[in-house]
Amino acid sequence: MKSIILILLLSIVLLSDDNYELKLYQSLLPALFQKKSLIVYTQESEQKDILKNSLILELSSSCSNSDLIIGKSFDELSTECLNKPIFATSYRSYINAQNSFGAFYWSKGRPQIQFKLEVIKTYNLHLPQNLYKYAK
Amino acid sequence: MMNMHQIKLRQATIIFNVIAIIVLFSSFTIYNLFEKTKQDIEKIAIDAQIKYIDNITNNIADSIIDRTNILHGRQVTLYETLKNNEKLRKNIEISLELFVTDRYKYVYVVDKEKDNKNEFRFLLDGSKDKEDKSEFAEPYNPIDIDFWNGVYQTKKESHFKHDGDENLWITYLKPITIDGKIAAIIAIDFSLQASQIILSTLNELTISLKIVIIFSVIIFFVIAGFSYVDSKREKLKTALYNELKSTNMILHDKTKELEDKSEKILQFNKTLTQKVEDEVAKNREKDQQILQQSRLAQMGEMIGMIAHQWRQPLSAISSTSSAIKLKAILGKLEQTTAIELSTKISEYSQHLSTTIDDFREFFKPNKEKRKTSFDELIQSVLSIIELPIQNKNIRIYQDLECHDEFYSYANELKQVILNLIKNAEDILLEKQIQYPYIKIKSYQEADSIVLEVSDNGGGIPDAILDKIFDPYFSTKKEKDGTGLGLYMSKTIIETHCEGVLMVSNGFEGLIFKIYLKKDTSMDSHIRLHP
Repeated sequence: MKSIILILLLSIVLLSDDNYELKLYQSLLPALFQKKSLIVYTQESEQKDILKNSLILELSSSCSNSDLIIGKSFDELSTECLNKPIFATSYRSYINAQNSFGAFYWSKGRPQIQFKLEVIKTYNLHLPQNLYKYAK
Repeated sequence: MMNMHQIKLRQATIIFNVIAIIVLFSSFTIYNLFEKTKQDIEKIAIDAQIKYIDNITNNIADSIIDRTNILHGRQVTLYETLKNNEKLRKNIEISLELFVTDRYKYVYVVDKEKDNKNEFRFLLDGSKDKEDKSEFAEPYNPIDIDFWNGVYQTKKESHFKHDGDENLWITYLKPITIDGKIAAIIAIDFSLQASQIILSTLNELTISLKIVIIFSVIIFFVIAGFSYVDSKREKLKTALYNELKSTNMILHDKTKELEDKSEKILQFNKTLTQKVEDEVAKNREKDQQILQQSRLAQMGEMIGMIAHQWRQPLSAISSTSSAIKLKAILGKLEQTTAIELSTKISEYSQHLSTTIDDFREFFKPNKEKRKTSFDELIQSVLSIIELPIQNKNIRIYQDLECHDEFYSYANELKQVILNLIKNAEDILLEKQIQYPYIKIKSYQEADSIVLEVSDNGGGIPDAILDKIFDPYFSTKKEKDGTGLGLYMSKTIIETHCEGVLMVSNGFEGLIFKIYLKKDTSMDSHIRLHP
């Protein structure tokens, strides 16, 4: 069953066009935050390129008013943003960042998705039942 | 029955059809063979790579077991061994890196965290790229997880193609088995690009073959279509040929029949010509006889008329000569009286001579048309017959309105008019009509000039009206009815004078009408009698 759900979820990524990461964010993050639209902050130009065309995820130039931070490097984050929930785009940042509640990244050409239940609870996020399989 | 040409055409059609079918089946067979060969080549290429990788993974597995020093019967797992020895991990990973090329992209080792869960983790990763290099114990969620679980269940190596990317990639999974248990799985993602290049070349050939097949199918259907049309045309041709042949035979028979009939007709014609000539000769002879009879009758009439004309002058001559004789006996014949009386006798004699000349002129046939008129013709006729008719108490009325002159055979017309008047006279005398009369009218009607002779003799029954112009047909009881007068009159009017002679029953008696064309000219010089 887990495999079916994963396949369904990741098929969104694999079968969609080149902006598959955005589609995954748009289907996953609003469900977690239980909001129709979110303000996102990122420092990485790669992520900015992905998010710039989204109508649901609004890019913010300042992390203070954002709902979450997306990326894999958070060394230069201001102190006011240290407590913001993070959605990591690499395994390393996912592990290293204490605030990271989940991650989406590629490993050996295969999409990987991970969630931390503890952090999700901390930020009162709602993990859909079908994604619990990827949570630890 | 088919002729040689049709048989040859039929044979050619069959040969073409057979060739078309052979070409079509050959194309399909070649295509199928080619497809099978292509699949075989692909399978052989993959199998060769799999075999090669199998050897590599065997070596890797042996190497890992050797280097981790995990021996049979020991309770420590590969995970635990590697977890506790980072240096060993790095050394093994350096060895794995040796296998990583463009063709063998990923070489890594994973195990299951717990046997009953789908939670895989990285143990070793031969990736050279630091960004892509997985950490030890990093969770791993393979997409094709069934294959991975399958290796754990069957404890046998497995491989599967990746979806998408034109099936260019295969993941080979090799279990590392220690004491019958799966310690980990060696995974190698390798490219099929080399074999795909061969296959893509073969695919180009496949496209060419498909084109050949399409052309073969088209050629087959074109030939089949042509054959069908040709067959139909040949059938139609044969049917037409047979029909034509049978029609030809019928025509031949008919022609033969016609030739026979024609021969008979020719023979009959010869006989008929002879018969016609004989009949014509007889008719001529008969006509001559009729003409002769008619002339004889007319001469009889003429003699009667001459006698009547002569009666008065002869009587006068007789009485004058008697007076001369008496006066001479009595001695009272004076010279002047003698001269006077002899002059009278001479005049009477001259009158007799003139009468003869008139009759001669009257009955002399014309050889050429001349200018005349109804007035002239009627006066000429009446000068001969008016007096004798009037002596029989028959009155003659004239109503002459047409005074036009025309060209015709005047003497012939006079004979006709005379004949019609005499005919009326005979009827009136025969029927002893109380106040008999003959009416002569002339007038114009459309393009014709008409002369009408009628009487009050009561006419004749309508039943015999059509026969009145037949030769030898007569209604007269007395001996002078030859039955030729009206026949000759009709012949003269209609044959010689190009007119029409008609008869009808009027209110009081018969009405004869002579129609002549107004424009009768001198140009038509027709000989009346040959």
